[in-house]
Amino acid sequence: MTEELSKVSDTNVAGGSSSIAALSDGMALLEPEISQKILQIMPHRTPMVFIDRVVALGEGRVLCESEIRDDHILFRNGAVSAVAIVEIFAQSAAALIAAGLLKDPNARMAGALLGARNLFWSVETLELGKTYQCRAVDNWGAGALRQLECELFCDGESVAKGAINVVATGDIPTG
Amino acid sequence: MTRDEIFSAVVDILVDNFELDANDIKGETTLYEELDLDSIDAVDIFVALRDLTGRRPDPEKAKAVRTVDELVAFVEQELADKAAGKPEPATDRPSE
Repeated sequence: MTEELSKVSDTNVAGGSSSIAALSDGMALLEPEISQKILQIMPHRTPMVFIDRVVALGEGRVLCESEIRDDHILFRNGAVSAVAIVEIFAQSAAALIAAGLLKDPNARMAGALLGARNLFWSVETLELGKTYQCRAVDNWGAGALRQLECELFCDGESVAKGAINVVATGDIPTG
Repeated sequence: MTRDEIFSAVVDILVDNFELDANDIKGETTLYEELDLDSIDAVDIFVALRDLTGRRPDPEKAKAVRTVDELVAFVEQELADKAAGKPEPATDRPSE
Protein backbone atom coordinates (compact mmCIF):
# COMPACT_ATOMS: atom_id res chain seq x y z
CA MET A 1 0.00 0.00 0.00
CA THR A 2 1.42 3.35 -0.98
CA GLU A 3 2.12 6.20 1.37
CA GLU A 4 -0.79 8.15 -0.12
CA LEU A 5 -3.20 5.36 0.64
CA SER A 6 -2.08 5.17 4.23
CA LYS A 7 -3.55 8.65 4.65
CA VAL A 8 -6.99 7.54 3.56
CA SER A 9 -9.86 7.80 5.97
CA ASP A 10 -13.37 6.45 5.53
CA THR A 11 -14.69 10.00 5.63
CA ASN A 12 -13.62 10.83 2.08
CA VAL A 13 -14.21 7.48 0.41
CA ALA A 14 -17.80 6.34 0.37
CA GLY A 15 -16.87 2.69 0.10
CA GLY A 16 -14.50 2.98 3.05
CA SER A 17 -12.14 0.07 3.54
CA SER A 18 -13.65 -1.81 0.60
CA SER A 19 -12.57 1.01 -1.70
CA ILE A 20 -9.07 0.81 -0.34
CA ALA A 21 -9.06 -2.92 -1.05
CA ALA A 22 -9.87 -2.20 -4.68
CA LEU A 23 -7.01 0.24 -5.09
CA SER A 24 -3.87 -0.98 -6.73
CA ASP A 25 -0.35 0.31 -6.44
CA GLY A 26 0.41 3.70 -7.86
CA MET A 27 -3.02 5.27 -7.42
CA ALA A 28 -3.55 8.39 -5.35
CA LEU A 29 -6.86 9.44 -3.91
CA LEU A 30 -8.60 12.40 -5.54
CA GLU A 31 -10.19 15.40 -3.89
CA PRO A 32 -13.97 15.51 -4.47
CA GLU A 33 -13.69 18.66 -6.60
CA ILE A 34 -11.25 16.95 -8.99
CA SER A 35 -13.63 14.02 -9.24
CA GLN A 36 -16.43 16.43 -10.08
CA LYS A 37 -14.37 18.08 -12.82
CA ILE A 38 -13.67 14.69 -14.39
CA LEU A 39 -17.37 13.81 -14.33
CA GLN A 40 -18.16 17.13 -16.03
CA ILE A 41 -15.69 16.42 -18.85
CA MET A 42 -17.24 13.01 -19.44
CA PRO A 43 -20.13 13.00 -21.95
CA HIS A 44 -22.52 11.04 -19.72
CA ARG A 45 -25.48 12.90 -18.27
CA THR A 46 -28.41 11.97 -16.04
CA PRO A 47 -30.05 9.45 -16.14
CA MET A 48 -27.17 7.67 -17.87
CA VAL A 49 -24.54 8.49 -15.27
CA PHE A 50 -23.57 5.16 -13.71
CA ILE A 51 -20.60 6.27 -11.61
CA ASP A 52 -20.89 8.68 -8.71
CA ARG A 53 -17.29 9.66 -8.15
CA VAL A 54 -13.75 9.10 -9.25
CA VAL A 55 -11.98 7.92 -6.12
CA ALA A 56 -8.38 7.52 -7.20
CA LEU A 57 -6.15 7.97 -10.18
CA GLY A 58 -2.75 6.71 -11.25
CA GLU A 59 -0.66 6.21 -14.37
CA GLY A 60 -3.06 4.51 -16.78
CA ARG A 61 -5.50 3.48 -14.06
CA VAL A 62 -8.52 4.78 -12.24
CA LEU A 63 -10.88 3.74 -9.47
CA CYS A 64 -14.51 4.85 -9.59
CA GLU A 65 -17.49 4.26 -7.33
CA SER A 66 -21.09 3.50 -8.18
CA GLU A 67 -23.88 3.61 -5.60
CA ILE A 68 -27.01 1.64 -6.35
CA ARG A 69 -30.09 3.73 -5.64
CA ASP A 70 -33.76 3.23 -6.45
CA ASP A 71 -33.67 6.05 -9.02
CA HIS A 72 -31.18 4.14 -11.21
CA ILE A 73 -32.50 3.90 -14.76
CA LEU A 74 -32.08 0.10 -14.72
CA PHE A 75 -33.59 -0.38 -11.24
CA ARG A 76 -36.20 -3.16 -11.43
CA ASN A 77 -37.69 -5.41 -8.74
CA GLY A 78 -35.43 -4.06 -6.02
CA ALA A 79 -32.09 -4.24 -7.82
CA VAL A 80 -30.15 -3.28 -10.92
CA SER A 81 -29.43 -5.90 -13.56
CA ALA A 82 -25.83 -7.03 -13.84
CA VAL A 83 -25.81 -5.84 -17.45
CA ALA A 84 -25.13 -2.42 -15.95
CA ILE A 85 -21.65 -3.68 -15.11
CA VAL A 86 -20.52 -3.24 -18.69
CA GLU A 87 -21.64 0.38 -18.66
CA ILE A 88 -19.90 0.96 -15.31
CA PHE A 89 -16.75 -0.41 -16.95
CA ALA A 90 -17.24 1.92 -19.93
CA GLN A 91 -17.83 4.97 -17.78
CA SER A 92 -14.79 4.18 -15.66
CA ALA A 93 -12.77 4.04 -18.87
CA ALA A 94 -14.27 7.39 -19.82
CA ALA A 95 -13.24 8.78 -16.44
CA LEU A 96 -9.65 7.76 -17.06
CA ILE A 97 -9.61 9.39 -20.47
CA ALA A 98 -11.37 12.51 -19.13
CA ALA A 99 -8.76 12.78 -16.38
CA GLY A 100 -6.18 13.22 -19.12
CA LEU A 101 -8.02 16.34 -20.25
CA LEU A 102 -8.17 18.05 -16.86
CA LYS A 103 -5.63 20.73 -17.80
CA ASP A 104 -7.95 22.18 -20.44
CA PRO A 105 -10.75 24.17 -18.75
CA ASN A 106 -12.91 23.85 -21.87
CA ALA A 107 -12.25 20.18 -22.47
CA ARG A 108 -15.07 17.89 -23.49
CA MET A 109 -14.89 14.39 -24.83
CA ALA A 110 -16.98 11.96 -26.80
CA GLY A 111 -16.69 8.24 -27.00
CA ALA A 112 -18.35 4.89 -27.40
CA LEU A 113 -18.13 1.37 -26.07
CA LEU A 114 -17.11 -0.91 -28.93
CA GLY A 115 -17.14 -4.30 -27.27
CA ALA A 116 -16.25 -6.45 -24.31
CA ARG A 117 -13.76 -9.31 -24.06
CA ASN A 118 -13.50 -12.15 -21.54
CA LEU A 119 -16.31 -10.77 -19.43
CA PHE A 120 -17.15 -12.66 -16.23
CA TRP A 121 -19.42 -11.78 -13.35
CA SER A 122 -20.51 -13.62 -10.24
CA VAL A 123 -23.65 -11.64 -9.41
CA GLU A 124 -27.05 -11.53 -11.11
CA THR A 125 -27.86 -8.05 -9.84
CA LEU A 126 -26.30 -5.00 -8.23
CA GLU A 127 -27.91 -4.59 -4.83
CA LEU A 128 -29.80 -1.54 -3.65
CA GLY A 129 -27.79 0.47 -1.14
CA LYS A 130 -24.48 -1.14 -2.04
CA THR A 131 -21.47 0.80 -3.30
CA TYR A 132 -19.45 -0.84 -6.05
CA GLN A 133 -15.88 0.07 -6.96
CA CYS A 134 -14.62 -0.26 -10.50
CA ARG A 135 -10.92 -0.32 -11.28
CA ALA A 136 -10.03 0.30 -14.92
CA VAL A 137 -6.48 -0.18 -16.15
CA ASP A 138 -5.34 0.91 -19.59
CA ASN A 139 -4.14 -2.13 -21.53
CA TRP A 140 -3.05 -0.47 -24.74
CA GLY A 141 -4.30 1.91 -27.37
CA ALA A 142 -3.54 3.58 -30.64
CA GLY A 143 -5.13 6.84 -31.65
CA ALA A 144 -8.71 6.98 -30.45
CA LEU A 145 -8.96 3.22 -29.83
CA ARG A 146 -8.13 1.74 -26.45
CA GLN A 147 -8.57 -1.44 -24.47
CA LEU A 148 -8.95 -1.35 -20.69
CA GLU A 149 -8.95 -4.17 -18.18
CA CYS A 150 -11.76 -3.60 -15.68
CA GLU A 151 -12.75 -5.19 -12.39
CA LEU A 152 -15.74 -4.49 -10.15
CA PHE A 153 -15.61 -4.90 -6.40
CA CYS A 154 -18.24 -4.92 -3.65
CA ASP A 155 -17.43 -5.16 0.04
CA GLY A 156 -13.82 -5.80 -0.91
CA GLU A 157 -14.65 -8.80 -3.10
CA SER A 158 -14.28 -8.98 -6.87
CA VAL A 159 -17.69 -9.52 -8.48
CA ALA A 160 -16.94 -8.95 -12.17
CA LYS A 161 -14.05 -8.51 -14.54
CA GLY A 162 -13.31 -8.19 -18.20
CA ALA A 163 -11.73 -6.09 -20.90
CA ILE A 164 -13.55 -3.46 -22.90
CA ASN A 165 -12.65 -1.78 -26.16
CA VAL A 166 -13.59 1.87 -26.48
CA VAL A 167 -13.17 4.73 -28.87
CA ALA A 168 -12.74 8.20 -27.45
CA THR A 169 -12.19 11.34 -29.42
CA GLY A 170 -11.03 13.41 -26.48
CA ASP A 171 -10.36 17.09 -26.17
CA ILE A 172 -13.21 18.63 -28.13
CA PRO A 173 -13.17 22.35 -27.28
CA THR A 174 -16.48 23.98 -26.58
CA GLY A 175 -15.36 27.47 -27.46
CA MET B 1 12.27 -16.68 -29.96
CA THR B 2 13.05 -17.64 -33.53
CA ARG B 3 11.16 -16.09 -36.43
CA ASP B 4 9.29 -19.37 -36.92
CA GLU B 5 8.29 -19.42 -33.26
CA ILE B 6 7.07 -15.84 -33.49
CA PHE B 7 5.12 -16.65 -36.66
CA SER B 8 3.51 -19.61 -34.89
CA ALA B 9 2.63 -17.46 -31.88
CA VAL B 10 1.11 -14.78 -34.14
CA VAL B 11 -0.98 -17.41 -35.95
CA ASP B 12 -2.18 -18.74 -32.59
CA ILE B 13 -3.24 -15.23 -31.54
CA LEU B 14 -5.15 -14.71 -34.79
CA VAL B 15 -6.84 -18.12 -34.63
CA ASP B 16 -7.71 -17.89 -30.93
CA ASN B 17 -9.05 -14.34 -31.05
CA PHE B 18 -10.87 -14.30 -34.36
CA GLU B 19 -11.71 -17.94 -35.10
CA LEU B 20 -9.65 -17.87 -38.28
CA ASP B 21 -8.43 -20.96 -40.11
CA ALA B 22 -4.67 -21.31 -39.59
CA ASN B 23 -4.36 -22.54 -43.19
CA ASP B 24 -5.54 -19.14 -44.41
CA ILE B 25 -2.72 -17.33 -42.63
CA LYS B 26 0.49 -16.93 -44.61
CA GLY B 27 3.32 -14.47 -44.24
CA GLU B 28 2.08 -12.28 -47.05
CA THR B 29 -1.56 -12.38 -45.91
CA THR B 30 -2.97 -8.93 -45.32
CA LEU B 31 -4.66 -8.43 -41.97
CA TYR B 32 -7.38 -6.04 -43.01
CA GLU B 33 -8.21 -7.07 -46.56
CA GLU B 34 -7.69 -10.83 -46.65
CA LEU B 35 -8.38 -11.71 -43.00
CA ASP B 36 -11.12 -9.08 -42.80
CA LEU B 37 -9.89 -7.70 -39.49
CA ASP B 38 -10.50 -4.11 -38.50
CA SER B 39 -8.85 -1.51 -36.30
CA ILE B 40 -10.78 -2.70 -33.23
CA ASP B 41 -9.46 -6.22 -33.83
CA ALA B 42 -5.99 -4.70 -34.13
CA VAL B 43 -6.25 -3.45 -30.55
CA ASP B 44 -6.91 -7.03 -29.41
CA ILE B 45 -3.94 -8.25 -31.45
CA PHE B 46 -1.50 -5.76 -29.99
CA VAL B 47 -2.74 -6.33 -26.43
CA ALA B 48 -2.03 -10.03 -27.02
CA LEU B 49 1.40 -9.17 -28.44
CA ARG B 50 2.12 -7.14 -25.33
CA ASP B 51 1.59 -10.31 -23.33
CA LEU B 52 3.89 -12.16 -25.74
CA THR B 53 6.74 -9.65 -25.64
CA GLY B 54 6.27 -8.31 -22.12
CA ARG B 55 6.47 -4.82 -23.55
CA ARG B 56 3.95 -2.12 -24.48
CA PRO B 57 3.78 -2.10 -28.29
CA ASP B 58 4.79 1.11 -30.00
CA PRO B 59 1.46 2.61 -31.22
CA GLU B 60 3.02 4.49 -34.13
CA LYS B 61 4.79 1.40 -35.47
CA ALA B 62 1.69 -0.70 -34.83
CA LYS B 63 -0.39 1.56 -37.07
CA ALA B 64 1.93 0.79 -40.01
CA VAL B 65 1.53 -3.01 -39.81
CA ARG B 66 -0.47 -4.43 -42.71
CA THR B 67 0.59 -8.08 -43.21
CA VAL B 68 1.34 -11.12 -41.05
CA ASP B 69 5.02 -10.85 -42.00
CA GLU B 70 5.05 -7.24 -40.85
CA LEU B 71 3.42 -8.33 -37.61
CA VAL B 72 6.17 -10.93 -37.11
CA ALA B 73 8.83 -8.33 -37.86
CA PHE B 74 7.13 -5.98 -35.40
CA VAL B 75 7.40 -8.62 -32.66
CA GLU B 76 11.04 -9.30 -33.55
CA GLN B 77 11.79 -5.60 -33.18
CA GLU B 78 9.91 -5.37 -29.89
CA LEU B 79 11.88 -8.32 -28.50
CA ALA B 80 15.15 -6.82 -29.75
CA ASP B 81 14.27 -3.47 -28.14
CA LYS B 82 13.46 -5.23 -24.90
CA ALA B 83 16.75 -7.15 -24.97
CA ALA B 84 18.59 -3.88 -25.64
CA GLY B 85 16.92 -2.30 -22.63
CA LYS B 86 15.15 0.36 -24.67
CA PRO B 87 12.41 2.14 -22.73
CA GLU B 88 8.81 1.39 -23.60
CA PRO B 89 7.15 3.91 -25.93
CA ALA B 90 4.88 6.55 -24.51
CA THR B 91 1.20 5.80 -24.25
CA ASP B 92 -0.78 6.98 -27.26
CA ARG B 93 -3.42 9.24 -25.71
CA PRO B 94 -6.78 9.89 -27.38
CA SER B 95 -6.19 13.61 -27.24
CA GLU B 96 -2.87 13.42 -29.07
